Amino acid sequence: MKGLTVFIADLRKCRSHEDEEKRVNKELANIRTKFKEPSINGYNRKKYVCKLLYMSLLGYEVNFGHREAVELVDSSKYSEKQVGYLAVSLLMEDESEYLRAVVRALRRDMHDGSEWIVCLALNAISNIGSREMAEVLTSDIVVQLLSPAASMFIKKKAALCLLRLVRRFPEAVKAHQWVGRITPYLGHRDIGVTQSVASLMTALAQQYPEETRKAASFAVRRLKSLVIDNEYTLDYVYYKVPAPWLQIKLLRLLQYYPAPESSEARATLLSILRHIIDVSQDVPRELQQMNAQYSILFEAINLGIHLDIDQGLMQECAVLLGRFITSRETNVRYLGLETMAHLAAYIDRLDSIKAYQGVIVQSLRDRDISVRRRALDLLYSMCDVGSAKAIVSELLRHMALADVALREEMALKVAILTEKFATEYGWYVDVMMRLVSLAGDHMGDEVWHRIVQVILGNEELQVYACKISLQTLKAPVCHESAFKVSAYVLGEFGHLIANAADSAPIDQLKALQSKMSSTSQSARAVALTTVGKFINLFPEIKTLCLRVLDRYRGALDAELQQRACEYYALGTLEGDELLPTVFEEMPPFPERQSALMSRLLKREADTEDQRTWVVGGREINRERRGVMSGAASNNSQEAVEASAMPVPAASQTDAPSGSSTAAVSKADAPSATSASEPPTDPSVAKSMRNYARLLWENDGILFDGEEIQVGVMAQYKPPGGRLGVFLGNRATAPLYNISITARAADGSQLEIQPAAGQEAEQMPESLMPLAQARVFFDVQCKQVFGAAPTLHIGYTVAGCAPTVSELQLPVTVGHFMDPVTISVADFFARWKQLGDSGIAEAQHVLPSAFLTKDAAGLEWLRSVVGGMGFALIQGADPEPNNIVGVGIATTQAGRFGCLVRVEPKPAHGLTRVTLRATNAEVARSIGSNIKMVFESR
Amino acid sequence: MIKSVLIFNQLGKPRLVKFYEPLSTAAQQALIRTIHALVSKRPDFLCNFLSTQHHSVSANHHAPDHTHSYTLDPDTRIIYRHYATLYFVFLVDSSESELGILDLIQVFVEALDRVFENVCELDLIFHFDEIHYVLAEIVEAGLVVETNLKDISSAVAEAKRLVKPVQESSRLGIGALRRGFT
Repeated sequence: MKGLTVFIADLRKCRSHEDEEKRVNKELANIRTKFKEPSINGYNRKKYVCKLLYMSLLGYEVNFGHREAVELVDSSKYSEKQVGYLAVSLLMEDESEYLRAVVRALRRDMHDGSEWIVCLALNAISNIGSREMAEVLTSDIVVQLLSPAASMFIKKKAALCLLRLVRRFPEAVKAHQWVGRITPYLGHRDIGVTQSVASLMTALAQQYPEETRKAASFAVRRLKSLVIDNEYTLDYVYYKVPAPWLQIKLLRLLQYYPAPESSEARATLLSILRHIIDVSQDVPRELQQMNAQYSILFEAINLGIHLDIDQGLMQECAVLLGRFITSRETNVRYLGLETMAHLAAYIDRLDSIKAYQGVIVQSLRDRDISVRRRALDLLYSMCDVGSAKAIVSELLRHMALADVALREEMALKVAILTEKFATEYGWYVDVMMRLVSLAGDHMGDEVWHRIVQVILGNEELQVYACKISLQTLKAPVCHESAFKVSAYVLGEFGHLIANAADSAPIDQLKALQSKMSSTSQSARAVALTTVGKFINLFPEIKTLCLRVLDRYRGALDAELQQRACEYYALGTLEGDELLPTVFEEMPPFPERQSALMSRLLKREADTEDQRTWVVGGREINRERRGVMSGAASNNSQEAVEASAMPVPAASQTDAPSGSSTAAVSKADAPSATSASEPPTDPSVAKSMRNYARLLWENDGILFDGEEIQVGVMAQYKPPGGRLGVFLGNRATAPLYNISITARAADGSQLEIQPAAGQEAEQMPESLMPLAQARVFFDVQCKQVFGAAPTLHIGYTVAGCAPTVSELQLPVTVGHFMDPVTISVADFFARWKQLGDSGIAEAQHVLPSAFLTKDAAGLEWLRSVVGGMGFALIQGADPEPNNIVGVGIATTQAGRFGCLVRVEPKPAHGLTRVTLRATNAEVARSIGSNIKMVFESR
Repeated sequence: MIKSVLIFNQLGKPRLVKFYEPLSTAAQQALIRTIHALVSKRPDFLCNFLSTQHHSVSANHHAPDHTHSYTLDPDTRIIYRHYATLYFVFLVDSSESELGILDLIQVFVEALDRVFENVCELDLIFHFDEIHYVLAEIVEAGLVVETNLKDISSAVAEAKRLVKPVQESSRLGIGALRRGFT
């Protein structure tokens, strides 16, 4: 294509960015006019689409040419089709109106006689992977994968294509129907096919551990043939290593299954691992070979650690890793440290790792920050009671020198280790005080909150903590966080040291005052509460305390002023009952998981494949594994965690003010939704039906009126989501002054605002008949909420007064729910546990005459429950018609597990729906959603 | 999973941009700028891996209006290789083997080398579409589909044959990419 080459050369000649932009704009205008010509031929169309692609590569926004791309796809020429599919996958978005035409073309091309056309189609599906494709094309793809006539190229691509759809729309592909037939392909003679199928199986293994159980033995057999029997073709030898990617894939796949039960299989697996380790004893000369060799080795060690069947082998690994972490190759050092952290997370005797403690500490000074980070992870994982003091003091020493980027994490880890392994109280207090002084600027409030919690919970600590606090306040410089801890501690326990030298009440108050003026508002607020508490603890300095409070009664900051005024009023109150009650010593905090841990764990985000281990000591990984081997997924563990600690960290941000009179009780927002009232007139019933449908389907019509039609398309990524609102003009005249806004009932619970980046396509001034306008909104679920947001649509029809319609938007807490697959046993354990607590249950018995009519009613019921975001647990209930499901609702304030059980009784025309959740409002809200869906059917 | 494959030159000019997850053009470009800034200042003796956790690799970094806010998962790793004038960068999550990806980059480069016979940056510029076709034979939907150079190049050659011979573009020969590490 000469034109394209000339265009690219032109752009390369541009000296400045402005020149380039000018040239691009000229070309865009040219292409627009060319596309309008009816006589444009395929070659030119291809050329211009290519030019558009090049501009988009350079970063220019290209938002036309979609129609031409689809026309290219429909062309019978391979070259045009190829460019067409490329353009479709690079330019088109998920909600493009042309996607339907693309799906039609794909369907045709999937059955084309030429394998290259089929490959193009498969490639396009995996690039775009829309929901419609998952629904319409999955069975065709499975056929291609299993067909004996299909070439290896097709099979490879088909497997990955399926994987893409499985990951994006697990419920649409119905994997349980075909997963069993695909498993044997792990033993396919073609290494490329096996490799793709192994990727697919890895994803399926996490979703369907039962159905894919056989995959493990296929993988072992395949590994054996590669590693021990040397059965492979020369094409797959990469720098003398046979099929390294396949080896890695299989070794990783096996980490999703427990160790094999038969001793024979175990022996085979062990001999494979041993073989891999033995081969790696010699350092390969060539760099590429070393990379490939070591990547297999690291994965083999990971598998060995996971299987946990031979401690001797693991000790050997430790020695090997010890050699790696001193390697001259930075990559090898990096991976050596990472794998050693994995080993430290499981191995029973840490001695073999501790031998390298010195080297690891040295690595904190490595010239590469990536390596330094791994060293920190490893030190954190290998720490135990014996080595805690040494490791913590090393980390503290490095704190001042460490990169700013690393300091926060370092501080968190020091805080956790110190708390976990402290054997002397003095040591704990000393280390923590030093930590907040050293790294206070780099860490969140969690750290100082946690110190206060620990001191409050341990009586033996309190006297020493008071001494240190007073010293801290008297020191010439005092860090803000250290100041807060000290002030808080003295306010609670100052009286314990009041008789010691230089620690009289007056000394304590003076020390506090001396630093107060130079601290921030939030620190001063804490100090004011301490002063208030001093009035109660030390009546002898009451006047001095009141003087301090009096000074702050005029403070500009509202919080300071309020505290000062209230405490001052309390201190000058007649009668002596209220003061001691309000300023009573704080009770110890209830035992709960440290906020530090949750913060650290939050850093481990979800990946496409579940992590098989996390950075940290043995306990936490053992716990994880306990949950995972129960055939449960990663998510179900989160469900357990979410229910175990529903207390948001916010409740502990400033404990003292809760006990002061300032406590404001926040009324719960009214939670009844207006739409849940029974319908009276037919048009209301119709719009209620529309609304109810959108409770379990993401896209659909929300309102259908004389003049306008409103559609909604939603996509949720809890706790966020994006809502597309489409306004169609059904009248015969154009609409003017259109406005579409959305409002949440309570902005602190739900945030809804126009989506970022749509300024470009502002509301049109007028909307012609049959035309459509659209607006996108971003929603963020901050916490559990009851009332749905509302949509306000304003418009004017010529000659009439402006109309404003208010519609309820189908956004409820249930929309922020993701399905979670857990095992049957887990389900019933959780079900019972939640039932026993009895706090969050919602039950409805709903008339359901439709069940008696036909069997489709049951199918519909299943799709409703599935559509609401529950993962249906198959075969859990002895009664086959019953439906049970699990979901987890994610808000910014926390995650809440929700279990559902639906028991249809066709004979009686009734259905009982029971919901149990870790939050009452979640159960109630989803319960009323289901009720509404039933009522509107 | 592989989230993205990028090629850009030392100045940060993109030569291949492929995301396996949907992302707006502006966010993509901002991300490339950030990654280029991170990667290009690392000397070659440092390791080829970078975790994004603390680098705040977010695309709104350079978009002052914050319209395209997109933050990488903290789990995402940058794995890159530097060949002559070009950086080959893969963004992957933690379920991929680091060294495996490093090898994959090598395979990708060797495949390009076969297809273009001694590949150079200009080839990538004038045949930007073909780079996509080559990549599609190696990575599909964010996963490795084929690593065998013979299969990769025969698939690309077959597709080329179907397209009909394309005219040979003038080879200006700016230093060929060196094989292996630089």
